[in-house]
Amino acid sequence: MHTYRAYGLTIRSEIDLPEVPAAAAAEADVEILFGPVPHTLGRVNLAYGTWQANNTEALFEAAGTGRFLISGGRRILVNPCPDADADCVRILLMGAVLAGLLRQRGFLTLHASAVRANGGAVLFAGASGAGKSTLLAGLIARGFAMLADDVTAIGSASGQTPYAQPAFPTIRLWEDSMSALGKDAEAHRAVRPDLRKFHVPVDDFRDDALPVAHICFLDTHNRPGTVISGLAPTEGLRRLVEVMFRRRTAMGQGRQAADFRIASDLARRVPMCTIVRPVTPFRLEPFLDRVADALAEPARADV
Amino acid sequence: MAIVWLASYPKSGNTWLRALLTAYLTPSPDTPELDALVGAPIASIRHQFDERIGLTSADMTAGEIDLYRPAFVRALAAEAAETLFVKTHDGFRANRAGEAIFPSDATRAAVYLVRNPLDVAVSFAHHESRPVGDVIERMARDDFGLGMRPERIEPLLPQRLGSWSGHVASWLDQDQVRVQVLRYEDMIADPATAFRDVLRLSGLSDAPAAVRNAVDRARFERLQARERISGFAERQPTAASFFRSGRVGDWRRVLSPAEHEAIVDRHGAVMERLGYLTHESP
Repeated sequence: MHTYRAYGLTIRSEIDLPEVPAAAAAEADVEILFGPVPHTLGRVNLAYGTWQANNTEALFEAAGTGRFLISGGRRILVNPCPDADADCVRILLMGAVLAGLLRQRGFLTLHASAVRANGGAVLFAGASGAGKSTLLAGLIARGFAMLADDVTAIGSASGQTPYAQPAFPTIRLWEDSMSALGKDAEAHRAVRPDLRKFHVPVDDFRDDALPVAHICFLDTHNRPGTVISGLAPTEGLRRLVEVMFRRRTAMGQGRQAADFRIASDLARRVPMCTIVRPVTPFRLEPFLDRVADALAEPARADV
Repeated sequence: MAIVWLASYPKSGNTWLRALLTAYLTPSPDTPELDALVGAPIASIRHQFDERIGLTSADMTAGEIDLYRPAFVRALAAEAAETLFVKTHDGFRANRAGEAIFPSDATRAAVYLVRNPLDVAVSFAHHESRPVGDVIERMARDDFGLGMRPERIEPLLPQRLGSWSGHVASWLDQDQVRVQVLRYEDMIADPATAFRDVLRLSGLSDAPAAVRNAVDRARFERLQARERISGFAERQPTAASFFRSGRVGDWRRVLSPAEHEAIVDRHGAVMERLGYLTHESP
């Protein structure tokens, strides 16, 4: 049995999670155990694709890897397939499954990376491949502290700006991003077999929750040059909804109203912008410099 | 509702057909908005897959993604209120569980657009700003695909194309989904007839006035002008424009005898089948 800390939670886990910081054995907020998981939940609000969910439980099944039962924001049961690859189980566990648990605990989960800047948390949101992790790694190299890689959990604090919950100090990077950043893929652990994606540990990690200071949506275009523009709150809210992580599952978990309230709160209180970069020609280092410089300034409508 | 696939190897007229459909289906008198064309390749968009299946495709191999594609396509079809046009460059194939990635129960039909590979090579070379020799070599490869490099990620899901001939054969020789072949050269020669066939296949009215109007609004020169004014997201950044020439038979001016021979050697059987090897054919 191992004890870890991630997303502000003490996690007791029967599965070892090499990328997550160990914690002193203490009263656990969350348990991750091996155990039998049924094929269906008794009562569901929503079933689609690989998910079934109701307000207190969610069941996730990835063919060939395993089934996971997430209950009450406190427990994850893992039922791996007999010949499942352990790293494939871990990716799902630390990604979509843990996000499902965070939602049961009241967090809004966004497809975003986050750094500490501008007096709080600055989020970089976008779909897979938009460059959230590469940007995060580049900002860390320029002295910003990491809060989260792929999924950022947002909690609400009544009457105050919603806050970003720190995740754990690892970034997952594709091999070509690593080359562009001057990192050696061979020196890192692969995320799973058959994909050239690697775990990159981070020293400069911030373990306390921070109010969200700015949200940037990453996009690409086929024109030259990077354009950073402010977003009006209504457009920002629309974009936030688009980057909600597993929004359909969240709906099945009864989170729709609460998630929308947190998102509306963010849209009202937090400045938002889009960062649109060329796919090619694209030079990473000048782009990272540009974003880092923008962060050092106080938040403005157009940068 | 069911899907009508707009299937083709790249540079074979898919975008033009989408512009025709857009002009037909939207009441505006203007040339269609290029970045909002009907027939978006939603079955290839990673974000769509992730949200409907509930998995992170960025953490999956191409083979694993294929296992879920039939369910993904069924989900797209189920959500559509009316016939859904979807562009694809994928070859027709089954996943490793033996299921077609384009399931017949979610499909009404497919329009398979095809163009003389001699002209495809020229067009593809311009689009990608590559030497024609490179493109000819790619079109010959059975393992060619888009977004399949293992060391990076693209916004679209991996698309397995295969060779040009393999791509054509994969769609024409399967018996699961009804396919209507549409030659680019026939669209150029008589766009109204070609478009009427597509409308009938899709269960849409082929009233002559509506067809004429769509053909007029989506004329090549108008699409070219529209691109000059507002740009087009599908233009590769290194290409001067997406709507470049649209002509039939450009290959005669561009390809060397050796290049011509390389293409005919590799793809001659399918070219013959499609009528591209007769003396008078474009």
